[in-house]
Amino acid sequence: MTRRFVIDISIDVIIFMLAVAGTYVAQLGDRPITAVLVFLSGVIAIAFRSGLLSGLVAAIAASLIYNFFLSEPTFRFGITTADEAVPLLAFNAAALVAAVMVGRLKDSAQRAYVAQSETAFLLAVSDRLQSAVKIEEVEAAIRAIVPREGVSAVEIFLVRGDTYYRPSTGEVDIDQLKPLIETSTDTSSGGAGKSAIVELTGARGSLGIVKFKLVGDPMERADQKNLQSIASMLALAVERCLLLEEVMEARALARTEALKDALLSSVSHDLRTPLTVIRAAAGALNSDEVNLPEAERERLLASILEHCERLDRYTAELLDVGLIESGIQENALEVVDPAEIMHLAINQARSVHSSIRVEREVPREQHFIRANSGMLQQAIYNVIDNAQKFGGEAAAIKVGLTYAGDEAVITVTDHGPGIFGRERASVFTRFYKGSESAKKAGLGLGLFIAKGFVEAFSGTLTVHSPVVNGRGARFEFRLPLIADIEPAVSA
Amino acid sequence: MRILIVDDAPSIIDALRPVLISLGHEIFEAADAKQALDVVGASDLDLVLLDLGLPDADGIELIPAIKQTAEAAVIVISARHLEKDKVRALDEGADDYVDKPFSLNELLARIRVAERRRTELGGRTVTRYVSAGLEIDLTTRVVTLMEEPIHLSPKEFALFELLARHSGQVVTQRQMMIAGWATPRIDGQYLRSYISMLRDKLEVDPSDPELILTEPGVGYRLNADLSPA
Repeated sequence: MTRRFVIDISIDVIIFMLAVAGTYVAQLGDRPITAVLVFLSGVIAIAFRSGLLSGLVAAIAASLIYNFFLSEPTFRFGITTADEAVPLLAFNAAALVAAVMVGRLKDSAQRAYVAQSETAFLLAVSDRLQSAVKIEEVEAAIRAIVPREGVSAVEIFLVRGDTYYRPSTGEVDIDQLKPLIETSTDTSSGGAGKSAIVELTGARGSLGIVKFKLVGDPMERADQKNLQSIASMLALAVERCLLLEEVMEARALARTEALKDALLSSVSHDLRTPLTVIRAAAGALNSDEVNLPEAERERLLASILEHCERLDRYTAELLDVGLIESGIQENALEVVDPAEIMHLAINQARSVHSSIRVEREVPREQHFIRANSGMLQQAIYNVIDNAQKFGGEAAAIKVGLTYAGDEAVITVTDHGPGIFGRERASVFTRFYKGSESAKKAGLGLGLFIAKGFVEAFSGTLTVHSPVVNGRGARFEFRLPLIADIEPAVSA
Repeated sequence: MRILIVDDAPSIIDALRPVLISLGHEIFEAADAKQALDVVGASDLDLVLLDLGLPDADGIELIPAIKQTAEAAVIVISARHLEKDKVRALDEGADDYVDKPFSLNELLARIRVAERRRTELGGRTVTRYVSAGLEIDLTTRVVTLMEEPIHLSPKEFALFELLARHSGQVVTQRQMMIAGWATPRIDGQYLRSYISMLRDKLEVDPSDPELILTEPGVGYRLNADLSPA
């Protein structure tokens, strides 16, 4: 019995007393119809306030009192004449009907209200849970709506092996919650710590448990049902998050698989091709059964040397990728003059591509950046090499350096066919070879390495295309300058 | 022989061409599947050296076409070294395979085996294969090793006959199963036990086989220079 219930009953009794008093006064004033109406009004008021049951009780009590105190003969039950019977019967019938009608109306209104507020609450819970994408967010999402209706806190524990862990805090509970599950079905016994524990059951079985910390009186059955509904929604949210995580993991795995595939096909094709050439050519030069003219022997020998160099280059590139993957250490960086490194890269390109045409633009001023000179030279060379491969025949390659604000900007511009659409995003991808470059030798690593190195120096490498007349591509390095060195150092 | 080299790396063709020409072969080239099919249709080829990693198609898909149109032998040159690719290629009708990077002597040996098989299959039915120390008579079903007759059970003989017909070339497990059991769907364990029984009867040291070689994951190869007699 709650206090509220006692108060409700008391109010009903007071209303009833008032009605009796009013009726008595009216009876004294010799107004029997008014008396009856006042009495009936009391019954209706009680039924309206407290529902069907209270209404019926009030109606019966009223009927007895009416019969005993008010209807002729007063102060005793029973009737003597038909004249006395009619008003009494009429009153009884009216009181009963009024009590039943009003009481039922009141009861269904009350139920509708409860149902509506519950639905609204569950909808709010569901809305909040929708926003949770990660498993550790589920608890925070529900926390915004509780405390409510005797629940002060919600804790979600998920099964992991033999233990329960709480994603929001990472705390692990070694199996000590398990016995609580079995005893949790009836929590109205109150008891230890006052929490209700409900199992979270998803489509794939038990996910874990949710612990509702309770305050105040033990829970009514209806409230428990409410907790069950919340738990079901939590289970849905948790399961959704788990599935999302699985999807992400699968995607990450697919990406690694794709990389492994690319690596495998690169190693098998791009590394085995030069090896095959070297082995076959060397075998031919070394063979007793093959007799080649001197010119052919010279050509095979040259081919062996060329493919040895190619193998060496590929190996270096794969090592560079390994370096990028494992992370470039801060202590590999030094203070370098970008103009000087750019010059070295251009010279390297000239020694590799004898027919290359490069136009150089360097400012007078001198600034410095933090980088590794060898890696930066490699990065710039790779971009020039790429420009030569795909646009070098069309026109001279422009390599320029400018200082803009606190950045050094190195640009490499070619007048080849340009890089369009999806290719523009893909050129920096490992092992990427464009439709044109598929035919050319190379691993498809040059631009990936350039970007990886430059990013290790806190810089960026981007591509813009077309440059002029729908043709050409411009690669742009941006590297942060370091504050100018004090003149005292050079003095 | 008239040999087509299919490879998307021109450097490999450049290295092989002078060698094969110096050995008296006539060389055709193709850099992709489309070119290869054009040459196969236009030239009367004896042998195709087929790289599986072509830019426009999976090389394996070319094998049935090459076999039907040109009736040429096919030696697959594979860079990925994946057993399933080799098995598929052989089951599609390829005669043999070599891995990149191959030794030139190995490739030339395979080419010689293919050449020998083409000449010996030139119309007549072979009833007897002989080599130094080993003889197999297909009509009397007698195998002679070092002039000593070896008794083989019918199934052992069927398996050995297949190896002998393809001596020097690889035979897939599937082909062996069809020869011995008339179905490829038998437990590989049966095949392995028959192979070890054959080795017990024919090898000098069955634990270190020199005659019936295992091609891991692919099949078996009879390492004997059997020629028809």
